[in-house]
Amino acid sequence: MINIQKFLEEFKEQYVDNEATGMTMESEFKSFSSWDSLTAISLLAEIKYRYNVDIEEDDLNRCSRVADVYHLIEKKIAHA
Amino acid sequence: MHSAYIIDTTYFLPEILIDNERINAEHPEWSVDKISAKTGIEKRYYAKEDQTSGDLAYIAAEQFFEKGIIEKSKVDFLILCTQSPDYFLPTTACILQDRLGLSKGIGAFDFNLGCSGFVYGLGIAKGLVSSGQAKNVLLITAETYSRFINPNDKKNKTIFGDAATATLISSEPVLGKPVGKILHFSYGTDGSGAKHLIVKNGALRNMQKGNAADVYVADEFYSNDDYLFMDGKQIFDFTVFNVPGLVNNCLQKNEVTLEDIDLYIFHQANEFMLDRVRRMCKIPAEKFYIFIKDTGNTVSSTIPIALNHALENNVISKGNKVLLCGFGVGLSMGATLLEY
Repeated sequence: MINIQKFLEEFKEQYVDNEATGMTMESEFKSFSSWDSLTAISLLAEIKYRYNVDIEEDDLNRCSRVADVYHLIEKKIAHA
Repeated sequence: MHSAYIIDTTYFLPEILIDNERINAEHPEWSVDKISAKTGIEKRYYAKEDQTSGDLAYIAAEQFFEKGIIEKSKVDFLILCTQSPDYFLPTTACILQDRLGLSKGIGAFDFNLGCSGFVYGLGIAKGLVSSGQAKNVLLITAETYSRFINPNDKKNKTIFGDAATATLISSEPVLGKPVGKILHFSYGTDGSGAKHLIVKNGALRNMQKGNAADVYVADEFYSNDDYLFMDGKQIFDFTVFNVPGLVNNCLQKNEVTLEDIDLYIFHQANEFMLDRVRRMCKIPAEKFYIFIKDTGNTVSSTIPIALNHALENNVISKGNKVLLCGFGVGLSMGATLLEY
């Protein structure tokens, strides 16, 4: 089980100027203004580094809430 | 074995200013703020239409000699790092020997590397000096990547700029001047990633140029084989997962710890990625030099430009240890330690 609190903190760190301080698991992570392809790349690298899980950009693009990404990682770990 | 020292460096940025306003005008869907917030870049410069890497290299070298640190006749080796040479052959460095009026008794050659090039150039120069083959090596970096960028490729347009630098590496320090003794190196190469940062057409594998079409993915420009292609995710991953190990290796070879280093100067790729790789390396922000806002990513020139600024602004003082690290196209990386 991934620690939700830590996961959320790592997620928030991908955004510039503390833009995502108020982010929750239900937030639409692509709706923050600094989100772009570079944020996605960085987030995926962070996930690979922390959880040793490879997620494709396409799979990330299909997620909308932070929780969707969380579940995607959990699923990948379970099937590893 | 002789020691080798970085004596001084100069750089030249060409005339054509490409600021964020201009990129915004060409790509109205992209805001000026958004471009600089992520990349940390506000300005880049492009070479004029009739200006080549050889021309930029010539100007940077002439500016170096104007400083009066060394007479032209004393330079006994010339190395040029470029991936945008004037010709397939001859090597641009030979042309520069003549144009600069350097001695005919010197060695001169180009080598083809990108963002790791300056560190490799120092490695070659140190090899020449410490083995007694040369006493004063002029190392030039010169790149006109602007020629490789497709007009529709807004991502690469925001990142890259043209520039040239000239650095003197000598066997003797100069009295009363802060010089950097070049210590030990660490290198790394992963050619399996060659396809992730490449200009495919125009050289001998695919000679045809001019027929390639723009490829769009989800309404965004993705590639055109006649131009520079960069898979941002792959380059990002290569950097953040390999550079920390390279830096550690370099620290170990030099028998120092992360804390012993006074300043880290990495290849200035873009600020966002630099911030990530800094954190992965566990380097505190105050020891991590950033100089990219007014130049952009000038490939092999970013490290000497940043080093030049750090010295001019007295960020480096006598006794300081400065770690240089370059990484990118190849895929290739290298790191070394300077002791001032």
